[in-house]
Amino acid sequence: MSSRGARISAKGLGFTYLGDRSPALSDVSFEAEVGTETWITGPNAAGKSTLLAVLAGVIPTVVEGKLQGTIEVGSPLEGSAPVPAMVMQDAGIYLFRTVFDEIAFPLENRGVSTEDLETAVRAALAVVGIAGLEGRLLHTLSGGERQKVAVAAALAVDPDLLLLDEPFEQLDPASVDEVLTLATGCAADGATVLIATREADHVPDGARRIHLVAGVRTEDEAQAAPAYVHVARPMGDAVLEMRSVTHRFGTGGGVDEVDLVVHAGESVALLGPNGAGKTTLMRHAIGLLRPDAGSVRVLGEDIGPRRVWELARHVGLLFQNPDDQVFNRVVDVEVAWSLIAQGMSRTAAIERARAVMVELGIEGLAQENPHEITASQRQLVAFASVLVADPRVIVLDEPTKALDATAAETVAAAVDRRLDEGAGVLLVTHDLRFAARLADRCVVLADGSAIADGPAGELLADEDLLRRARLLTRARPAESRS
Amino acid sequence: MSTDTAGGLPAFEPGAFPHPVGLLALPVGPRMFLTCCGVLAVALSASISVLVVQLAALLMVAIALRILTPLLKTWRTVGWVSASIVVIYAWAYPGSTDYVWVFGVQGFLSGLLIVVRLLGFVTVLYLMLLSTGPLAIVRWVGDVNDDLGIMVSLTLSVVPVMKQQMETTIQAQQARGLEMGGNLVRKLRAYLAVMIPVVVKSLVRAYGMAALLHVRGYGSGRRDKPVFRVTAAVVTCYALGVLWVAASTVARLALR
Repeated sequence: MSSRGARISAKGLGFTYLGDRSPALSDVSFEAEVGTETWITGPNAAGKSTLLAVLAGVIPTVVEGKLQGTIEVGSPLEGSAPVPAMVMQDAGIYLFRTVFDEIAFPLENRGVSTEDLETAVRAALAVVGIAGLEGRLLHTLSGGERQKVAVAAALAVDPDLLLLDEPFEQLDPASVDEVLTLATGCAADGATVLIATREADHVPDGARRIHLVAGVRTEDEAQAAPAYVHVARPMGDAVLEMRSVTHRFGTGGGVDEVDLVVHAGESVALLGPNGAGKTTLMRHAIGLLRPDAGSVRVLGEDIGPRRVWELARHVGLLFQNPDDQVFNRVVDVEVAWSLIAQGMSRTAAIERARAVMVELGIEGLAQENPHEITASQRQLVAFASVLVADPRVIVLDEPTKALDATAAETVAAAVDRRLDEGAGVLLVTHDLRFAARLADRCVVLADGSAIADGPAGELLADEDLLRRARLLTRARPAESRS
Repeated sequence: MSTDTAGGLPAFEPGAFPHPVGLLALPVGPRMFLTCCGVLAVALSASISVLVVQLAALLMVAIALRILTPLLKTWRTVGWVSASIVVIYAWAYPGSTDYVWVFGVQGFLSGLLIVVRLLGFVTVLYLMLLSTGPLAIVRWVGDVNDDLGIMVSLTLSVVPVMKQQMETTIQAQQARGLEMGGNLVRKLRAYLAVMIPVVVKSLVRAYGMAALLHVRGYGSGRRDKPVFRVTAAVVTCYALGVLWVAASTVARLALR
């Protein structure tokens, strides 16, 4: 018998968060054996994270609420408790300043001696492919690097029970494969692994699966992803032009002599692995970064002397983290804020905001506090706040982050309508399916340089290119385009 | 190359990696002891010559540690105060009997004594801070008391996050049309609009950190107790500290 792993037995598990009326999890029963990999799937607000939090003991130890049913997490060895480890959904939340301390902390808590600590930390970083980052400060890492640090911190303790909550969200497809391989390896070594994801694409055929919808375990009746029909539109003049843009950071990274043009009615997808310079380039579109060399033109005018808030009248930017963009107390005011800041009356602005919210199906959130809604709802609120000002240039940084397929299609349909109205769209994404759905053209970045620029249909079919740009997973995700 | 960095902040923890060698490899505890002894010795010294000797010795240590230039730069922080003290004492010291134009010699020497002592304090403290990264100090605090170390570490980690959050929120608000320029009232209102979400987000983050502490096994009671090794260097360090204070005391009594 394996001395590792954990046996899980859950019966009638339910949980209602303090202050909530409806349960986040209701009557869920399942069992997981030693050395198995179980996938928890479902759309947004299905209860996936809640279930993992219960298994990790975060509920009810840290998070208050009403827990029902029974759950037993035991070791195959009599008298010993399994060692759990969890990767939480938001890699932006971490404990310490340096990568070293972040990894060392769980090791110390599991009794690793000070003498062995350094070797163990270096080994954990090497396993997830970020060796040499131990001295880095966490707040200076990219989202993908932070996600890998979180995975390293979990794997470092050699856990009996490994819980991964949306571990792929900020990773490029090749890194997703690497993390999946590590999780599978953990299960093969005897650990019990549970992975929560809203993206059914990641789930291997025949995998053990718990599918949740609104907190209840159900059979997955999801339809196969539709074959997207890409609509070609007539293109107008260039609305965004970047010519030989170079921007280098003092700490390394940046972009080097990149050309990028977006025309009215055209959607351009900016693709590339973690740290390729996508976000850096995108921030130039609205003047949040200024090029060291080269030029940026919006609606034919050089943005050189223009301030960010002046450019905001023409350029709408969705930040990578919607939480960065949300700062009002009520959702409808949040969506309307851009218009109010630009001088529109509050009543007129809120009226316009409500129309956009209806379009995105979030009108029911109008009076909610944006900090208290789910991550996917916040993403839609942030997206609505971009659309409300009717920008001629729409720049979207990972717009499908935290969204399930239905919500992602809502976003795509809204973008389609703006393209029909003559807006130009610059789309930064790791999601090739979404890029195939929306993009007319793709620009592929690697190490700060554009390595390809061409029609989306051609580039997304070029497996060699996608592999070089770490955009290809084991399962080929991009839909064929008609 | 742009001078901005990710978040406008340094990417590496100063002094954390590569590992310190030579004098820098001395554990933080003995260094702290030496620093305390140094502060005490400077406070006990009542003669300019004794203070100058100590200052010279400290500067030689700084040369050995290769931090002389940054150390001397820290003197700038007290430069104006020091110059003012000397001038005011020389001009207004009531005990002066000998004068050069309007400046009293005794007043000048009293002012100089204060200034040299002030430089002594600054030098001792910055010698410690420049040779010991904040991370090493936090680790030492953690060795003394586990929970205190975690509290200090978490607090230190939140500071740059809040700074970065503030910068990002300002950028997000500008990207949505907020004018940050204009008159003072307008600027103040804009910054107030930024502060509220930064505080709210910090509170939300605190809940996440509490959950993370739990999943990383905090409170499992399996942490190794730190081992304090008594090496020749450590013993020498403590002995030097005691000698330093003793010598200052003797010098003070002898020169009374």
